[in-house]
Amino acid sequence: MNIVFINASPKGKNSNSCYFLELLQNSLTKDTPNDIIIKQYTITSPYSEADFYTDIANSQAIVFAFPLYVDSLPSNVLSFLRKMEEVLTSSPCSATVYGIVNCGFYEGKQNELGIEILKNWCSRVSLPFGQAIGIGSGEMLGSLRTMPLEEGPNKNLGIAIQKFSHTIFQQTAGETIYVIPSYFPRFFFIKAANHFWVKRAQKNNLKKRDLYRKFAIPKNEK
Amino acid sequence: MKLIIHDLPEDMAKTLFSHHSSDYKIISGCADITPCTGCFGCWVKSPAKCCIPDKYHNMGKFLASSEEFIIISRCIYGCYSPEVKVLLDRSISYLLPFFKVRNGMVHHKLRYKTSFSLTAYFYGEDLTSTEISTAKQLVQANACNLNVSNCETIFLKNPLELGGKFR
Ligand SMILES: Cc1cc2nc3c(=O)[nH]c(=O)nc-3n(C[C@H](O)[C@H](O)[C@H](O)COP(=O)(O)O)c2cc1C
Repeated sequence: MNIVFINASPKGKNSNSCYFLELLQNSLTKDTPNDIIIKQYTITSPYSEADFYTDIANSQAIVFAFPLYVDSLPSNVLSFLRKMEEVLTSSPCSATVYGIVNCGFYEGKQNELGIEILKNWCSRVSLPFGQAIGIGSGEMLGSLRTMPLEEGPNKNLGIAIQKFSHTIFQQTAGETIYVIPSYFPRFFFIKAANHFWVKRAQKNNLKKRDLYRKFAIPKNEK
Repeated sequence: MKLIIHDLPEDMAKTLFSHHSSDYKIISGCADITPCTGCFGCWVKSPAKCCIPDKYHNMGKFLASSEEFIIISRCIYGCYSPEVKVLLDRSISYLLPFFKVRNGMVHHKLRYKTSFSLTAYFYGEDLTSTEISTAKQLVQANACNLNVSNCETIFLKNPLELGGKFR
């Protein structure tokens, strides 16, 4: 089975999307390493378009991974999809499309519109849509890479990746799987995240109050 | 101020906006604008301002100065066009990084006390009913995140239908 992974995060290889693809790759190749050939592309890094479209034409599954930006897809992902649409109208492809959409907010469900937009793209290019996972608390889960997937806050993610990889391997379709961190209530997430921003700002020599900076808006501009 | 962001070709923009009053600020999105890199610098490095040093680094300030925000965009896959979306992605400094629960889900806290109304004009000849439904929900979701006072989503076959609207 040939699968193309498309890491479409604007952060490239340094992204949560790339990490989630890595988890998926591990899960897909764990039991049947020889049956699966994965080609991975990162849309912000240089790659050969000829190779990319050959791999797409030879694939049975395409897996997109991208973050949610302003409740939808980052602008560079939209440009990429539009370009792909142009090419796919004249080159054959029959792969099933899968998606991993992750967002910063707690609830995985907030990725729903990002997933809908990917489905709408599939309709435009006449490719079947398989399944998506919508991962909430993406930055948090992306920072827990060293913790095992079977336990703690990663548990839901581990289960979702396993189910998702099964659907892909069977080349079937399934309901969207939404992920929130396990054993990690929302109020705790908010506390931890708010602390995280302050810590990150401190690395830039800023204090918490600096983060509230505003532009003075002249009265007559309002 | 009334802020318009759009992806219209130059000649069409000229026709639509030629007699606009000084009350409007009009920003044209295009394919050459550097996309957001997801660095979060606008929250933790130069708060309230995007770190990409071009003329789009003040989108957050423009939003804060507006009582009306108007988006005119081709609808692609139920979303904004990349030319308009790049401007929205570069606007997140309008909000604070900090989280709170609003309308039952986690959203950002507000940097500015003020708010604006949002009107989204989507255009396209052959939009499907699913795309229209996605686009409507997207504007609602944006309105919630941006704490919009009231919002409207309007679909047009051709943007020239807006002739005479912005004076
Ligand atoms: C411009 C911008 C807009 C974002 N908009 C949202 C949003 O609407 N909802 C959300 O939950 N997270 C939002 N996020 C957070 C990202 O989805 C989150 O940081 C994600 O984990 C990044 O994934 P990546 O590392 O794969 O790029 C936004 C981030 C950026 C930079």
